[in-house]
Amino acid sequence: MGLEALIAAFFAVLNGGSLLYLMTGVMLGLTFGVIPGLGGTTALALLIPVTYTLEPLDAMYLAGGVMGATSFGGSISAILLNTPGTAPNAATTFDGYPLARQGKAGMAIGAAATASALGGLIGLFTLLLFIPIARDVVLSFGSSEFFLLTILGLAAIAVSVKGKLLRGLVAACIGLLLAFTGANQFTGDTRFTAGIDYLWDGIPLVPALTGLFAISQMIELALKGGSVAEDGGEVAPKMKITGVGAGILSVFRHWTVLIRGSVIGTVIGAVPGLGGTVAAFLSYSSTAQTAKDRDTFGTGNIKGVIAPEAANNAKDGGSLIPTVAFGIPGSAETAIFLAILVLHGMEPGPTILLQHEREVYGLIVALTVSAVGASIIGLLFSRVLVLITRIDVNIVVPVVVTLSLTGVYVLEGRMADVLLSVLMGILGYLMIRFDYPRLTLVIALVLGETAERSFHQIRLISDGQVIEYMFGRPISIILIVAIVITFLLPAMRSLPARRRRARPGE
Amino acid sequence: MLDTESTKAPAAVTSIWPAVVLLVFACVMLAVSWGYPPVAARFPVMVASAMIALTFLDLWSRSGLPGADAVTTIGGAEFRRREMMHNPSFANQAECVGWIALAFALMATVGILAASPIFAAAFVRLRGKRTLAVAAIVGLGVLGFQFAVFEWALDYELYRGLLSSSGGVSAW
Repeated sequence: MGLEALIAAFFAVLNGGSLLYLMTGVMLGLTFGVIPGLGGTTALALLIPVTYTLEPLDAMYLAGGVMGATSFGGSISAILLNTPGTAPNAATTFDGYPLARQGKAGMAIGAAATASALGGLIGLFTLLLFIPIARDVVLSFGSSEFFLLTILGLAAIAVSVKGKLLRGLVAACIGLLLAFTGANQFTGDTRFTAGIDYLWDGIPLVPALTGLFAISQMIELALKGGSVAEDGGEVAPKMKITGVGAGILSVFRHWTVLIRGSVIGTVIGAVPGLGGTVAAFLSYSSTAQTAKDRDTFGTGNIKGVIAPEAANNAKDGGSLIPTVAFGIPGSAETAIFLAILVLHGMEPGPTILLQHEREVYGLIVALTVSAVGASIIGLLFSRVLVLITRIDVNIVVPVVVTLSLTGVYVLEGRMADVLLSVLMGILGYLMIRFDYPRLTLVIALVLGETAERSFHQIRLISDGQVIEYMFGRPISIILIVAIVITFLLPAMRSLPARRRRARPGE
Repeated sequence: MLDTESTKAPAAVTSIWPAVVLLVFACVMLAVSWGYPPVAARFPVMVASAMIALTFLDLWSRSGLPGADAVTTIGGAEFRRREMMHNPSFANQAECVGWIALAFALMATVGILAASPIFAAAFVRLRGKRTLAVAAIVGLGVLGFQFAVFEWALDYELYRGLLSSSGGVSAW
């Protein structure tokens, strides 16, 4: 059944219109990836209203095109301008920019393009292998497991935003409280509506996400000022782009680095909240630490480009594993992907794989084609794309703000959505400013309803004996143990360092 | 490098006030949640209570009181890997938020199609200090895009503003 959906999705891409959506997504993804501060999340948030008019499968192609292309787009500005387009590309600057300064920018871009494409394909291949298993796992889960999974997902995300566990959990609580707004699904009682009719149906996901990601990012960018490529007031010099072929071949020569990076990316991507930045840095550091020529890392070693790029793209396939298996978004991008599903009348949650197989496979095909297509297009247009980063942010900001607010209005034709988006934008900015991770709030907002529904179901099934019921189910016990370990991880990691600090002379 | 950045987190970011505001918010949410019928209140009360405990720990970690360092380390409350590394003035932040509010206010009063180019041009000219010609080009570009995509291609009538439409705010 899965294979049929995969083949159908693949042939649907060959249809002229669908391919056009996919390629549009790739171009948008590359453009938004190249511009530091924007990235794939903003691009997807802006695209949500546009997908409203599309067939669900075409919407997946558009979203998949963006998701698959932003990572490579970000590596172009990382290599040429020493300014990572997206956060994970920061690891690429360590060796990409020194290579570019040595006149080997083309080699670095060629290696980044090939590693991105192959890393992405390996990640998606892993996802395809996992899907048949995931179906059986999902079917064996009950409300107890789904409730615990949402808690585990939130815990993993809060823990993963390093150095922000407490603030991550606080943000998750805000997200949950926002998710409870509106009529309770069990009793019909309205909560936190302040007498506003608009809030009876709860906080709509799309305006909230647009505000939290697009608007807040624009406020932050406007405050930064200058052009997006500026770093400390200096614009990086222009680079020549030659030697692309040598860069492509270098990936095959260092195939072990590619495989290692892809595996790290897929595994890290599968853990909700860890994301591309952790994957890219972990891949880079593990490659640098184990290489014989480790002293050359940071001065222009091509393996320092291959490792993070392979991991960064492989994480896309990995992050879809919790999304398609359990309806738990593994990243901000996949949270927005779930919002697109909502827009098309699909319920995000554990049954997503069972009910929306066609769309899930459509996204996988789109990501596969996008991973390869973005690298080819990116190589062809890298000179043009990098010019985008020289645009004044004071031009980018009003354009993105007006387009995103218009897009939010077009969805339902409600100005209240636009107002909500603005308020969420301000909230999102305050979270950026005071270092509260937005991701945990968003994931909690998405999962809140599922968590509450599952909890009420457990209470009904267990006749109020929730704890006893959970401890009577082996999978639930495993999940409880996993939650406890997840919460203890930061303390376990930091205790040895504290002990060392406590002992003078060491 | 990250640790160095951590120590440079602005005082406004590391001060107790963000935690105090959130603690008050959590207390208000708990009080409101208690007012709901038992089943509807159960989850919000749990979450608001948890938030009070977490914001209290957040507050403690920022306070410099005995044990604050331990709470910071064990609870993972350091200021590392911050998204926003620059430290704008309050006036600058208020101005930027004000611009976003202005965008909405314009859209609400004169409508989206008219407000978008006005806002874009005004932002480029006044905030960006670019020439009038650049501001006009950006404004016209936004207008052209909005009209071509939404009004013409999608045949969608964008909001015309409180001044031109009936129903007032209640129609939102």
